[in-house]
Amino acid sequence: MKKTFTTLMALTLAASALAGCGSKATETTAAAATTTAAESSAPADTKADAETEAPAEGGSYSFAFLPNTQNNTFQAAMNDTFKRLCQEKGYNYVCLDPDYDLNTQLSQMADVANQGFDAVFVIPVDSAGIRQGLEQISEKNIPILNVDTPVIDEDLDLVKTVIATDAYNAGTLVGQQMAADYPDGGKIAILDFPSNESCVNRVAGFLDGLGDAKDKFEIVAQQDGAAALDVSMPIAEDIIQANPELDAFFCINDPSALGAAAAIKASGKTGIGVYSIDASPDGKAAILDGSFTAVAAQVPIGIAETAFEKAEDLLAGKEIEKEILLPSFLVDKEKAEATLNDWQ
Amino acid sequence: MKNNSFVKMIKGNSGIIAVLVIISVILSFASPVFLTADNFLSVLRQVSNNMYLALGMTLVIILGGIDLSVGTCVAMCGTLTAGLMVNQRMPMGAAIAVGLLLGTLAGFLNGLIIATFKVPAFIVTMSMMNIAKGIAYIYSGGRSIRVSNEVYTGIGTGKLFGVLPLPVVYMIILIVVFIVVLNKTKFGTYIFAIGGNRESARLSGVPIKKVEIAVFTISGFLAAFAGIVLSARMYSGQPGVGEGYELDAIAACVLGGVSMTGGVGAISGTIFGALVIGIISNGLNLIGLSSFWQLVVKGLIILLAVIIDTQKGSDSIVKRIIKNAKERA
Repeated sequence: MKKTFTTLMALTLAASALAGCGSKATETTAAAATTTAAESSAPADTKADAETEAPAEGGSYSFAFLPNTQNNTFQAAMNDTFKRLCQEKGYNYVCLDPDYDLNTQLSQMADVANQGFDAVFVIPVDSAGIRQGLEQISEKNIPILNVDTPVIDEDLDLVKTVIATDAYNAGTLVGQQMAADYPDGGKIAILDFPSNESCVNRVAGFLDGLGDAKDKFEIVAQQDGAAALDVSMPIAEDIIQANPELDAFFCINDPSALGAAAAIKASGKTGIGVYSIDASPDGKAAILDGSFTAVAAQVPIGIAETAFEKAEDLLAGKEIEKEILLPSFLVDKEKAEATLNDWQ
Repeated sequence: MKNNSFVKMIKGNSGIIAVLVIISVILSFASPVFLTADNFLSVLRQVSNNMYLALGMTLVIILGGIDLSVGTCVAMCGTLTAGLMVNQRMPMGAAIAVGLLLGTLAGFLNGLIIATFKVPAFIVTMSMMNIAKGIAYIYSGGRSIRVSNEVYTGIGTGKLFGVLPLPVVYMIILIVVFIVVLNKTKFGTYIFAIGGNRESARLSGVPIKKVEIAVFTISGFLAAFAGIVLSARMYSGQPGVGEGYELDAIAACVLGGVSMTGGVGAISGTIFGALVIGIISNGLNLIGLSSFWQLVVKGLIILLAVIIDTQKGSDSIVKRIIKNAKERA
């Protein structure tokens, strides 16, 4: 009996301690990232100078990019684009990585508010929890350009504009493609990611994209693949097992679609289609080797370029649109080949 | 003699085996696919990765330690092995050797620091967890590395005689090796001795330091191995994988009756533990239960299984209830 309690106690302790360690670990990483970023940017006083000299001449600005993570080629492509554009114009540029930790992002936003940037690009870690950070930056009259993942409607007044890939449109394109590929309909499985607003819109777009053929398709399984390869792969394996007649997968992004493709290969089955959204470098390789059937593009480079341009417009006193949705497009083999190692 | 030890094994694991049987029966009614040979192989393949880690973890926990670094070591070794082949154009054999060495080194360092400086394993391996994750991200820049070398991906996707998935073959070989090591060698006896009573082990002349270092090194090697096989299965090195894998491995051990306080446990228990975890995920996916509910169900089953397992023997709740009822009657 005593032993039982010891075991259970040890388990509970281990669990709670682990939970604690996890968040602490991320904080440390993020803190480290902050320091490097701060080092690479110009010191605060130079920035202040830049601000006083800068305005009308279109001289030197300083921009900050606050993504939700940098451990993803999507955000990395945006960062590279911002960096390139800022270098071309000789602007100061900083990128702070919160590694999916909302708390870290809020402190980074507070830091940014105090550093006197000319404009800030933000991808919220969690749209619902970011208001405090947005307020702090707005109080210092620093314009916020919300990119990729939109803030919630209540917070829209705190950002100058929302610039994103039209997720619904991307889903629609894939849905239309599937309806065309399977004119008689079929059994399909969906790997979604309901905790991300954009991914929810992709699924909604996909279902609408099936259009009139919708009733001919039967959704035999719909599971959360966490938008990750290693999570999606076993789920896809099980779906294939449970549904021998499965015709196709629709996956909300390339990593989960790559997981489905790997599961299909492991099962030894052929003829199960894989439909995805992203067209990342990995996704393009999958289109070329035939493991993906169709993929609609997300446009991180396009978002970054547009955001940069709009930030300059804004600082030059021009009006900009409150919402800019960049259209998606299907990436076929030809397009995949042309930009194989890159996003778009 | 052989028969005897088999009976003993079954008896020792009666709790977890009962859980396994109950879950399997329920699932075979709930899903017509569950009991097919195809699905059986699929479960074994899905279990294999956790099993590699859990085998090493069993040794570590019996020793009285814990290894939190195995999850991110999976990511580090898989990513670097893939990267060395794709980015540095290293020959496959060399890249795999470096990958295995890297994980083994991480495990060795864990053991060395724990044994030399007497820092708790929890702290040392937690630090290594962060370091390994950092190295995977630094090397890859957070990007996944796609591998097209079919010989390499064959390590994870190939099949023996066209039937048995290779990861399952490795799993069976490793299980046999670990049963022998833990039960038939002096090294195995030392592990139990240290975990059971460190002081008396020391007084009896057990080379504690060497054994500790060896056990953590083995755990690191297995993590590297798991990382390489997983990256082959995923056709890519993924720096972001592996988080929480250490917890699944620990759960498999605990489910299998390995005592968190050290000194008690068996490979057979861990095998059943890993199977229960694998079958739960597989079965719930087959039924099509939403993944949010799966988390709750999984947590409850693991909790229940451990309670059943720890309650078995003389003082079990069920027996007490029956006894009380009889007395009243």
